[in-house]
Parts: sequence; structure tokens; C-alpha cells
Amino acid sequence: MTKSEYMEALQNKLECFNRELQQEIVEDYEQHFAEGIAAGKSEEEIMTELGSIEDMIRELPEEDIVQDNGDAQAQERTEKTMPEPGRQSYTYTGEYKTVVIDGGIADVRLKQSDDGQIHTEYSNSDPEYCYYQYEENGIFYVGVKKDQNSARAAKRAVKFMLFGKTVKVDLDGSFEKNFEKNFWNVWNGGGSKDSELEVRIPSGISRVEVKTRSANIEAADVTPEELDIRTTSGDMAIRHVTVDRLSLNSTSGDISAEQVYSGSMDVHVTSGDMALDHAETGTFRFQGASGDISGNRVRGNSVNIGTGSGDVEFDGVFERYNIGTGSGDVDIRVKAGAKEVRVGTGSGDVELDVTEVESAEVTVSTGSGEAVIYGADGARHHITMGSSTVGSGDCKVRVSTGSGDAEIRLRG
Amino acid sequence: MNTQFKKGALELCVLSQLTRGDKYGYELTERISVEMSIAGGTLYPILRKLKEEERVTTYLVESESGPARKYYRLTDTGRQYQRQLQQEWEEFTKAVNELIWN
Repeated sequence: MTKSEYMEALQNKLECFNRELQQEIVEDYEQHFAEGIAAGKSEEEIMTELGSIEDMIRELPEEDIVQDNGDAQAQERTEKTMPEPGRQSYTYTGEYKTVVIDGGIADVRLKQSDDGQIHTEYSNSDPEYCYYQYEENGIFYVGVKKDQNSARAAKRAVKFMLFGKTVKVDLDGSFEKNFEKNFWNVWNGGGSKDSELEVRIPSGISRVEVKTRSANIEAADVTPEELDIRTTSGDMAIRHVTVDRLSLNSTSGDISAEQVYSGSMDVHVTSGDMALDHAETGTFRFQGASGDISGNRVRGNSVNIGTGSGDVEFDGVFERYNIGTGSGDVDIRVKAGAKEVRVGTGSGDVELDVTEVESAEVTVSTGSGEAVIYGADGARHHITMGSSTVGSGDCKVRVSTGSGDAEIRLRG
Repeated sequence: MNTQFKKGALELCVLSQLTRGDKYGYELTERISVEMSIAGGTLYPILRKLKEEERVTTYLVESESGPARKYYRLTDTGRQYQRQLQQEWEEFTKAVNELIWN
């Protein structure tokens, strides 16, 4: 288990407690991790020390379990909670500037509504979760959360082993029903949760926020001014969206985006990969740790990519490129119109194709890596350690590597 | 060590450590772990409960290790409570020892 999985499990287990408590305990654990790391311990060691989350949960007072987190936050909310499994559809009329969708464990599908109203549809196979909707300060909130009644019941539960897996049975008199459900879950590999929340929004909404934990997110054909999508481990698929600002955040989920038209695009991922195809964006910013990023048929003003070990593969029309990686490899095809290209890596290799640019000035510096520039004059320039400039032209290309190799091709 | 023993005693251990000066959560778990094996996480609900009961107060101090450290300080009632628990503990262990040995 990684720290982020442990913290996610913690957050899940704390869900039925009041928010203030949730926040405090999560902060305490974060602080504990930070101290442990600073003291030179591994995440694994720290998790062992902190011990079982269930043991800790049992120490928390029952009074802090809340019937409904929504009500605890604001009384004026009108909230509909529908715990029955099945399929539910709702229509909402009203002008909203902001829509916030929190799928939790349910997959979210965001689409366009054609009649000026918001439509939602929730299909649920897990009776422990329920649909909710409310509005506050002109913001439309919709989502799926743990049914508090069943969360409360879950606290008074017994566990036993079945086929080598732990099964929990609620002690609320519904032993048989739960046994069957849990048995079924175990049989299906620990839970068949195919809950899905579809939200259709009309045009004219300023801001839409979508988030899930491990569930997937799909957004298609929508046009809010701002679109902010975040998930912990779910995958994201964005297709045909036109927005002013697009912000995507994922810890371990993968992101695929196609036909995206955006004034700016900001992407943060930790270990997930991103594939961008057919996009137009003023600025494209990507921050990643180990995830790879690939871009095809992308155009815009500037692209800014930073990764740790993730590879970068980019083919697009931009004026300015700024690409940095640690150990990740970089493979870029620069198109006509580029004015400035900067690529820096530590141990990552660089492959840069500048053949479509009329004339370019290329400066390469490397530490222990080997660099080869295929110059406009047909000559092959070989650089080991130090820096060298080849060619002249409006497009300034700067490449620096530590131990990585570089290969740069100019128009021959 | 039997977990039931520990559970009751942990609160006393935490309070007693705090009589020797303010401490932050990680520091407390480290200190207690030296003497007995505990799931460190269980300390946080105890600290939270002590705070709600106003036996301790907390304050934040910036830290180089990341997020600010939350220090716990005994209040006067906390100090009294510690003395009361300690006394009960001593009477209890004395009684148990008596029954074990004589």
C-alpha cells in the first residue's frame, strides 16, 4: 500500500464523521507522515507505526458520526437523498453560475443539455451510497455519497473470513440480506460498484467542477467558461469541449483528451499518463511526476511541460516550448512558426525534429551525454561535454542534458 | 501487551508525558512507542478527545519538516485530571500486585 492509498482509505473510513473531525484527523496523519519522512523513515515504516485505520476509528466518539454532512454545514439546504438502489432521474430549472459534481465512488458523465435545464440521472447498484442534490449561494451541488444510515450501521458490524477474504456483516438485524450482499461482493472480487452519475448541463454556466475518488470521469460536448476536473485514481476522458480555462488533476488515473479548445489548459498528474489529441489551447501546462505525456495535432502559443521520470512526446504547432524532465525521455517534433524551444533533461534522452522550421539556431549543452546535430548544411555535428551552436535563424532552440543523449535534426 | 490494558492506560501516558512539557503528536507517539507497541494512529483520537474536554490546548508552530506542528499543552484541569488518573492507576496496580504476589 502506498501513502496515498492509505490516506484515501483513511478518508473513506472517516466519511461518516463530521467534517471538522475528518479534517483534523487527516491533518494529524499528514503531519505524522511529514515528520516521519523528515526523520528518514519510509512511507511503509510510517504506515506500520500508525497501524490499522480501523483501530483508530474505534477510538473516535460515536457522537461525531453525523446523520447528514450536508445539514451539518448549512440548514437552508433542501436535500433529496434517495437510498434505494435503481435508476433515478431528475430535472432542475434555475439559473446557476456554478455546478459542482462530486461522484465519490460513482463514475461521472458530464454532457450538454439542450433545453436550458439541468438533468441528472443516477444508477446505483450499491445501497450503501445515495444521490444528493442541493443549492447554496447560487451554486448547484450534486453528487453521490455514503448513506449515513448505512454508515452508522456499518460501525456496528462483525467481520469474519470467507474464502480468505474479510467479510463484514452489519448487526442491524438484517444479517441474511447483508450476508447475501457481502457474499456476492466477495464472489465478485470485493464489490461490484458500477454506480454512475450523469449530469447534463445547459450552456451559459461559468464554472463546472467535477470530482471523484476512484471512479472515472467523462466529459463531452460541454462549453462552460471554466472546467475543473479532479480525481484520485479514476481515469478521465475529455472529448469535444470548448472552454476558457481547463484544469485537470489526477493522482494515479490516466487522462485522455481530444478535440479540446481552451484558452488555457493546466494539467497536474502524479503517476497517471496523459494523451492529448487534436487540441487548441493558448497555453498548455503539464506537471507530472512519473506519468508520460503525449500530444498530437496540438496547437497554441506556449507549451510548458515538467515531469520527473515521465516521458514526453509532443507533436504540435506552438510558438514557445519549454520542456523539462528528470529521467524522462523527450521526443518533440517542432512545427513551422516556432520561435523558442527549450528542452532540459537530467538523464533523459532528447530527440528533437526541427526539420519543418525554415531556419533555426540550435545550442546544445550536455554534461556526460552525447549530442548529435544534423545541420542545415548536411553536416553532422557531434558534441560531447560542453556546449555548441549550429545554424542561425529566428527560431532559437536550446537543449541541455546531464547524462542524457540528444539528437537534433534541422532542415537539410 | 494486552490491548485492553493499553487502551485505558494510554490516556494517562499521554497526559503524563505532557506534564514534562508541550509535545507534538509525532513526538508523543515516538516516545510511547519506545515503551510499548501501539498503533500510533490511535493517539490522535485520544488527543482530540482531551482537547474537546479542555484538558489540553493546542497551538501551531511552523516546522521545516512540512506542515506546521500541532503542539499540545496541559491545561490546569488537565493537570488535575492527570494527578487523579495517576493516583487511581497506582491504587489499581497496587491492588493487582497484592493479588498477584500475596
